[in-house]
Amino acid sequence: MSTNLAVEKSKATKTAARQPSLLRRLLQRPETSIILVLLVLSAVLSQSSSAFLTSDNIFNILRNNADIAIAALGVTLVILAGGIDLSIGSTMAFSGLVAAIAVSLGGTTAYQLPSFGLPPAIAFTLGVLAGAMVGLINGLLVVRLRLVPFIATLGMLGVVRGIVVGLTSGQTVRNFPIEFVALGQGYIGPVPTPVVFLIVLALVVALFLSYHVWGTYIYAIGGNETSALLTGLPVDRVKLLTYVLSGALAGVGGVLVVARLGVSAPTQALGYELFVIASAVIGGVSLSGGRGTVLGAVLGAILIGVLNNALVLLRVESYWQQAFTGGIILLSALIDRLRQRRS
Amino acid sequence: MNNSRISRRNFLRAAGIGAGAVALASCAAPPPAAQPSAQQPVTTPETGKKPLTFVWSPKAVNNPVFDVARRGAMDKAKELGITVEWIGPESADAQKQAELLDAAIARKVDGMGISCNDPDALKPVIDRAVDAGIPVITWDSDSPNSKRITFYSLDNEAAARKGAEIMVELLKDSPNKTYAILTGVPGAQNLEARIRAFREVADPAGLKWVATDPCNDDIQKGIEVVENRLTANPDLAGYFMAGAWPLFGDINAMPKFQAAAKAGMKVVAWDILENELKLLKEGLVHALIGQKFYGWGYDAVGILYDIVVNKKQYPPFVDTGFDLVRTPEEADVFLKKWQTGNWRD
Repeated sequence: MSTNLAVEKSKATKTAARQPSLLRRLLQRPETSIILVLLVLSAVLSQSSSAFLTSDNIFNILRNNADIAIAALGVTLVILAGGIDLSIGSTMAFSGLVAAIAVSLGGTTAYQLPSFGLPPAIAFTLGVLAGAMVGLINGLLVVRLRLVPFIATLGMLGVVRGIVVGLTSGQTVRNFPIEFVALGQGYIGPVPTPVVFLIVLALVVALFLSYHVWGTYIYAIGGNETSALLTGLPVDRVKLLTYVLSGALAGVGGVLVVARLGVSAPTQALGYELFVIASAVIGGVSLSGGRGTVLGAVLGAILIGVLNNALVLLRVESYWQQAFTGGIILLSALIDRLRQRRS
Repeated sequence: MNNSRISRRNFLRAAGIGAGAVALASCAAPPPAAQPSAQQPVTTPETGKKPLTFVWSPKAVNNPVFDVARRGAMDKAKELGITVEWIGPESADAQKQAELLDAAIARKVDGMGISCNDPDALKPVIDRAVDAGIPVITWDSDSPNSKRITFYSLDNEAAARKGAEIMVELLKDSPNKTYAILTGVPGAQNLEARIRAFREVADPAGLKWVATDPCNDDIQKGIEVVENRLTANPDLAGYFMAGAWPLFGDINAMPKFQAAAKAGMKVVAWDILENELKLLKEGLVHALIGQKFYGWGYDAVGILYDIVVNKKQYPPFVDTGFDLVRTPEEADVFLKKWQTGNWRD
């Protein structure tokens, strides 16, 4: 599985003329540095707290961060194709709100909003479609109106968050049927449901990138857009697709959080675009496009979750927590830089 | 290639349908509340002149407690026959709030009541307003060095001390005295005051502080932090929440918290939101410290009206007092207020 997940298609086609040593091949993998950091952090944590290496705690971390990881899958596609999506946090909140309104049984504090009591599956789908729609607008702004992705999606960050706050008047939407809440709180076997979503979606996106021709186009466009154009690749359509998928995946994450928390709040996922993008980048996805893997992005999200867990288990003083988190992220990036130089 | 083209077209079609559905849903909704929601201006019967206009500014319009304050302000405005405009940033943003208030100064409103996102960031705009002849009071969150006339709030330290006394009493027969604190953004003045005062009472009384964890005022993060804390310290005897963030969500999102509370962990939390009141009735939360949300609008508009019209003097701090909720019966009183929207008594 990991080989499939991790197939990295750099712009320079790999020439397997010489078989490099195992160590060298490992060092070439973009996930290596993050795995190293995760291992060291886990070793320290399991030494200082017996609670860390329990399946209970691990699943807890994964459940709490599955939404960020799922959204990171989407933004990875956008970044690989040379774009960026800053609207993710707002999209997550919007999708969550649409699903919440669709599924709510009424009687919420956002009294001016209707609640439809639709079946959870339909509410879930509507939420994801709402995310895809935001992605579609992002994509059209970029490929049709030729806005710089940073500005287009920054604008949408504000517009979409504003719509969420406006529609709810700052109130929360709640009162969901148990089948909907189970999407976030339930288990499939021993595995929390959001983690199952994450595993399935990560596999699908990894397979798409590795085996679908459009997957290879994404790498090609991010690697060198001009030559991709000259080769006759459908550059605009591929880019549009990455934004739509990013919106849809952020939507999945957003709806799952609403299901888990049992409430859609207008501040949901406020500022989370930074964590999502950081997950991808820490996992070795290059911000200049064309390089990176799905596995890396998922590991990046897991690292952020483990860090949050560590802050509490290690009792890092609250005033120092930001510095601690920032430091580990820098460390991970530095190891990656070192790795690239070595390989 | 061909296949992918077809599937993409289908996908776009599906997305189009979704877009339509969402657009329809948005049309059905009322206009956003982020826009200043002005009351219909009514002329005062006595003078027939243009009525007074006050601007009331919450830290953010995306918070249910401020919505109660808004109702209070509008109710008082109706009683007094004045206009109150509700103007605040969408999320807690000091700079944005200052910009909005600057615009109100330019319109020469008759008074302002502000819940400050940041004491220093709001000071210049408050001073500009006062210099322009617009009286300003603060409520809920102060800017002490500004030229504001008075600050209307609960005494955070007194309320937190009371909370700590209750925690000490709740744990008096417990052999285990450990407790943790949940806070929002580290450094927020009101939260720091609550934490400091709580510890000043709790720690000398023999309670054992374990940690203070921040959640950046984020519900999702709050739930994660509480669950992580109870992973690290599963036998915690008490929890003081300086704000109610994780209690906004579904309690089932916090299985460890739920289990600990059922096993006897005592919880003292700030605020009296609907969800918290229900948790108190279920026995999962043991004391709630209620701020006078409605008074932030109703009473404070009255104070500013007194200052502007009746030329009354006020001291720099007016204590709102606080509500303490400990029994299911007390919880019912406030649940009814939330459910009916009537906070007037």
